[in-house]
Amino acid sequence: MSQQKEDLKTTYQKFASKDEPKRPVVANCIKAFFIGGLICIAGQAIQNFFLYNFDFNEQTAGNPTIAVLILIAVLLTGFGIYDKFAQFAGAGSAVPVTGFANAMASAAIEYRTEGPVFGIGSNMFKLAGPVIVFGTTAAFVIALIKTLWIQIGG
Amino acid sequence: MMFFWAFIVGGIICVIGQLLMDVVKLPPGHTLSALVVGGAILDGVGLYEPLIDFAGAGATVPITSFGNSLVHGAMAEAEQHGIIGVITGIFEVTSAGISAAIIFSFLAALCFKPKG
Amino acid sequence: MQKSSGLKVILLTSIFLVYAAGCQQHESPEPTRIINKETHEAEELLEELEPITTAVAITSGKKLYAAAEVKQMDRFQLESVRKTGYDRLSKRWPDYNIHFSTDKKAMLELQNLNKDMSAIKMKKKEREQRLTKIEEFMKG
Repeated sequence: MSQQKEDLKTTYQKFASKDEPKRPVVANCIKAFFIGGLICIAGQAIQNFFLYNFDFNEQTAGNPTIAVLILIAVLLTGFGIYDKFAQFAGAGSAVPVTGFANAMASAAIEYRTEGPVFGIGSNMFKLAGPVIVFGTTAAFVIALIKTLWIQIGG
Repeated sequence: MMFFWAFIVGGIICVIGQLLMDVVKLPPGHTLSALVVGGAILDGVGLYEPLIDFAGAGATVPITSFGNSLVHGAMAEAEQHGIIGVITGIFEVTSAGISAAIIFSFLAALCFKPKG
Repeated sequence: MQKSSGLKVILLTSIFLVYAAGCQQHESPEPTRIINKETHEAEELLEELEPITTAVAITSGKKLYAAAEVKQMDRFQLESVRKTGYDRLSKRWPDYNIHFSTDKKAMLELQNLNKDMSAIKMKKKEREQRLTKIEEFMKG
């Protein structure tokens, strides 16, 4: 009796897995590689612009660069362009900081009908929330360990 | 030259993200969180800064640099003010990114209508 | 069908961009004008180092400000190049206040200062002002 159940389970699993959408991993990786690389090239161009034309050095030019990239991403999200682009690029559009901004902006825009506090305010951090929580906690632990290590090492 | 390596390194980090999503089958939230923690760890062992020196925006644009900045802020403050700096300094470097994201997203929600 | 043509567009665009970006780097660096014996010696000392391609130095009294450009592949060890460069300069001028940086902005500003100083007789005040600003860029 239980042997029959096992057979049924395996047969079902094989049947179900046939309809699972197959992910073309290699094609996805190639697309992610190119789009991600292009976004970084754009970032480098923006960074150079700030470095050559304003009072920023290599260390500080990253800040306005990231702010500009976020602004561009939010605008593209608002016009609906980023989502079409994200469907094609997968991680290539999600991993750069532009993807982070897109997630926040699209959630904020989607929930605007629910009002500024419960709609926009609380839904903005759907994706950003875990990123900030885990990033902050990890940074705390790592910096703590490193600082103690340095202090003990003398 | 820097553009070339920005392209390569940025692309590689995105491929790592893609593999986490496709092969390890992590949802996007998990993937990004993992990458941020990865960036923080790499900075902890002192490997992320040389990567930034080498690849420029290829290392500062991906979300991994967020983890790096968090650790950097904490360490910089800890060097100056002792162990309490680990808490007070975390958001110092990343302030631009987080503030920009919040402010622009909110403004966008006021200006744009949701599609479909 | 659409997906593969999208891929081709991406491929072509990125190849073009990478090529264009590579072309950008061909601004041949102007040779640094010699300000005085010390700056010349400092620049030579730095350029002797393998990873450094070009260097600029400006002195002001007992202060030496220097910046260097490092070869792309050696940029992984930027920290150690900074230390080596600093040590070299400190050994040669042990009683000087040495400021050495690999920052691109510091390099740009020092090169501008170098060009200006060789063109006109710069007042000490202006030189000091510019050097203080450059010192800010060297930090971090």
